[in-house]
Amino acid sequence: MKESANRDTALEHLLLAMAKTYPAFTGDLSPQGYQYDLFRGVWILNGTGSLLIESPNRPRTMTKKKDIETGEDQKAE
Amino acid sequence: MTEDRIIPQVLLLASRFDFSCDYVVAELRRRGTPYFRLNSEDFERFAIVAVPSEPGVYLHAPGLTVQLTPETLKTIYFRRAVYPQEPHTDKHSVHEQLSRSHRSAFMRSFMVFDSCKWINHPAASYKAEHKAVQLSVAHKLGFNIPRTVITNNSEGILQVAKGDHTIAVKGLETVLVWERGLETFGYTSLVDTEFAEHSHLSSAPLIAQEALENKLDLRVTVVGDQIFCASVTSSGNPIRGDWRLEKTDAEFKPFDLPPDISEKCLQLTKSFGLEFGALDLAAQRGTYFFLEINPTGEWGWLVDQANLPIDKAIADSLVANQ
Repeated sequence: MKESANRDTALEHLLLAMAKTYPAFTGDLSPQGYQYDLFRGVWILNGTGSLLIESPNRPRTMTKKKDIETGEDQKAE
Repeated sequence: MTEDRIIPQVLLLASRFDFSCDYVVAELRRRGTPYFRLNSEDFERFAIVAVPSEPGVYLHAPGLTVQLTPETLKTIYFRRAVYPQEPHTDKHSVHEQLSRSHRSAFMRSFMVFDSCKWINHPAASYKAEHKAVQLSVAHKLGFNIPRTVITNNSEGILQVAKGDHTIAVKGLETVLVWERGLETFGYTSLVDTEFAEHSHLSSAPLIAQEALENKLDLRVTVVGDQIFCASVTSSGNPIRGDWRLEKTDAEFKPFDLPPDISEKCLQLTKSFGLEFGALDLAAQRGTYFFLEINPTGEWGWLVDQANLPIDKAIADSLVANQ
């Protein structure tokens, strides 16, 4: 997982030296087999209308939104 | 085409990919509460007209009109970032940078609805996001906190270490940077004191803390007057350092806090004017330490993995004043 950002490690701040570096995610974040319902404000299982969170096969919720480590409140935006 | 007209009592400001929000929506639907969820990804689906002097916000999409006015809108669930970090990086095109910064500002503009109950109000979250302020307030309330300094030099490191071989370091705020397609994220790190002492520190102050060894991590979620706590372990054992590094193996189980610690969690959350707070505590040999509070912290996984009904508590809070 650890990748190099080719920074000068001798000059690297301790916080950067201890941080984890990985390829930035650029793909589609939508859960497969589900679509977002703009009117209802929820993800629904394709072809059924049932809610993602009530589906036994739903993706496991993780500790971060999208499970991307952008901080507790998805600080990227 | 028939047109749906929504006049919400509850507005959720979120991201499409904020799946915790789906839990709250499901609860609101069960209760029959009129709501609307506006996601930052959905702006281009709507024609938006906001009139600050009314105040009123009107959203139009094919087949859908949403009318938000103080007469009907009672509660706002704010799930967006208080400190957006990404909009101005070269990770995105200039168009995308502009879109992100202005969508974020628009979300915060809902503060014109000053008679609404907020979970949480961005101004309250803004203050509560500062780790130094959190630690100061927690200490005043009688919480134990790890020995802490904010420093950019070796003297500060040695002051907090007090002879310990290991200290904990973390950013004053989220450590999150991008460079050439790579993302770098900083966790709380246990580091050798001598290594920290001789590292480059001067350009950015950091938080250096006494390392709590053999501690049990506790995640406390406060919603109004309700409190939920889960312990975090791996194979039944406490996790050394930042448990997020082992989150795929982490177990979350309901945990009973001592009443005085529960009360302090409630007091801390209220003292910041927050309706919701996600607190990180650590228990070490019967002593409970406050580590930090996240005003917009995550909780959805605790519904799934620890059976904590946080979604119902948030829905309770959203409809409480209607």
